[in-house]
Amino acid sequence: MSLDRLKSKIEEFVDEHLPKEPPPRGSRSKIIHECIWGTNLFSKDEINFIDTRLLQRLRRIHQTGLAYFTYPTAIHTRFDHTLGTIIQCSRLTDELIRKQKLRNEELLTKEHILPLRLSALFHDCGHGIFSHTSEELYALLNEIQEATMEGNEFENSPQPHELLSSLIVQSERFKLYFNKVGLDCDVAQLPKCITGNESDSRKYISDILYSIFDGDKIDYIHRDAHFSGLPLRIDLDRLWYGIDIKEIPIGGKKYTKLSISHTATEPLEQIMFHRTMLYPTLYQHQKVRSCDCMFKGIIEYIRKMSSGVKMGNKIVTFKNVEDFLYGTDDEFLNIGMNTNDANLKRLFENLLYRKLFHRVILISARTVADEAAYAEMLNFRNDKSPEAYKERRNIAEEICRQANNKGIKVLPEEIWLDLPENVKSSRDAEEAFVFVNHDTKDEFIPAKDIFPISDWVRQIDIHKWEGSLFAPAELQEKIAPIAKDVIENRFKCHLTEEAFTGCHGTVPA
Amino acid sequence: METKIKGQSLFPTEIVASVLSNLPKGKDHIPTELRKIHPVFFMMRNKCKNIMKNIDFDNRGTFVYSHSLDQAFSNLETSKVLSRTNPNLENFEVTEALNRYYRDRIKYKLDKVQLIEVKLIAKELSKIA
Repeated sequence: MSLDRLKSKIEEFVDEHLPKEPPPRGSRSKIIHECIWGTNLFSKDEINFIDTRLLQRLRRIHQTGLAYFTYPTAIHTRFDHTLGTIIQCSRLTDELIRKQKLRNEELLTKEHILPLRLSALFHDCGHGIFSHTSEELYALLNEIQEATMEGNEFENSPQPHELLSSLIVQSERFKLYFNKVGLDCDVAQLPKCITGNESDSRKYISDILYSIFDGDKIDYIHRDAHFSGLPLRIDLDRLWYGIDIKEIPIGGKKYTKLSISHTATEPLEQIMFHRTMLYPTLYQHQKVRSCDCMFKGIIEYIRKMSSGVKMGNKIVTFKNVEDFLYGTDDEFLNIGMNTNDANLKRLFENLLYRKLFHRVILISARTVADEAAYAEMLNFRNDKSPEAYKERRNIAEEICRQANNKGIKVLPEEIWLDLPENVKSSRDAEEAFVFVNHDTKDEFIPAKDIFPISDWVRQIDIHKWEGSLFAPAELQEKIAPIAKDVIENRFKCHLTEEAFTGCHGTVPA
Repeated sequence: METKIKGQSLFPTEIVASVLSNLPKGKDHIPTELRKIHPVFFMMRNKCKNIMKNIDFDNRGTFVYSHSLDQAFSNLETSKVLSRTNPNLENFEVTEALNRYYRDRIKYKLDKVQLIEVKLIAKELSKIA
């Protein structure tokens, strides 16, 4: 039932974001220059989509959410990334077609290019304000939870923004516009590529947009690293040289999917290593997470307001998935400029003028003395679980209540127990296959047997993963002893001195 | 603040710790490959609905994968209650640290049905041990 409601809201959203007709004189193809992949041509049909509100709104949604408050040049957007993903999917497809032609095979031909480029074009159109930052919140709403349950339409649990992108391209209103543009392309192909739902014999098609080798990853690794100033590169020439379509026998079945030659595994290693590096360095930098929590605090505060707030030209409460989709980052921040609610204004201004939450407690393998207690704490390290979120909020609210009882003025929305999800690599390492060519027959080896990425990631997780208890900077010393008591009592554990000195605070008595 | 009472739904990390701690005697090593572990849980999900109802599965790849199980094993390893055996790190080893975690922090939450289901999955999982 709730998925039906969401679908109907998506129809309304698409109706407001696509014109009734394509431009009467038609668009022309355009050359677009950008700093990562240079100069690239986009066809007139693609421009007919690019120049719609549905995709132009992505210009005002930051690719790495609020990371620009920590990495000042990380101001790139979902729009830039969307173009980059098209370019990289196209480049990969061209290379695969070239190899097919050399062997007189036709698994992938030039007819596949357009649907793949269009899938790349729409793969992120379901992103809401501040990209993955808001996704952590709407992922917990009933509609998303229900849609991803077994037996339901999205039982394979795609990421929530992929689910929304998929619903957008499946909407009747989208199909209507798509048909009016008059493309020689089956629109039904798009959601399959966006959510990686191809059949076993056609996996290689969705692999181009949805796999460890995909154009999406190639673009975001380069782009996120470039704009945050991190020197991470992938040897793409070698990737294109080594990649191919192979029929791989696995567990008694045959899968036709992308595979890379054992003579060219370096770019695969680079993709896996660089993606892993981006987590502790960029996505989960403690100040980035602090901003994420400030954003969540604002959303939680708005949810408690009976009348909602105006974002753009809509009244929103953020209790529904579509509320996150309607706005853009600037429209969201404008809420703070226009509100008469003093608390809400302060929450927004603290973010806008970078009066960020401070870490009050550092949570890591070094600061939680008891292993079993640490294991119990990590129960809540799953951002997709409403129960884990609720429990984390209960702990923060208890700290707030005790602080208020002691006369400390703080809102529950200003205290956050943040236990971000860790990076995972085992699935990719088992799903990516390397081929060794023996004259007429290929041998296939899972990537995990070539290089021990999972072992490396596990060590990173054990030694570098960090959680935090965040609170307003000026209250750090006052909140610390209260938070210490609440956490130690809740988890029956002892926090070491580093839990506080690691935050540049004093150790509570 | 809420605390769990007997019979409430368990977190995936608690389910995995319970299953591993209830592996039959002499079967305390299981392979670390997701390809081998996740399908066992998937196969048991309908027989063990009480504890498996919130575990997600993803059939898009070449094996049935579960994000929540991946997270659960990862949580247990990060907290060092679950270790891998040297020298090749290809097996999980159930040690006293995991048993203590189960005994002290999880067992009291399980009701009769949940315990039966945990043991059923443990028995099935022991076949790949």
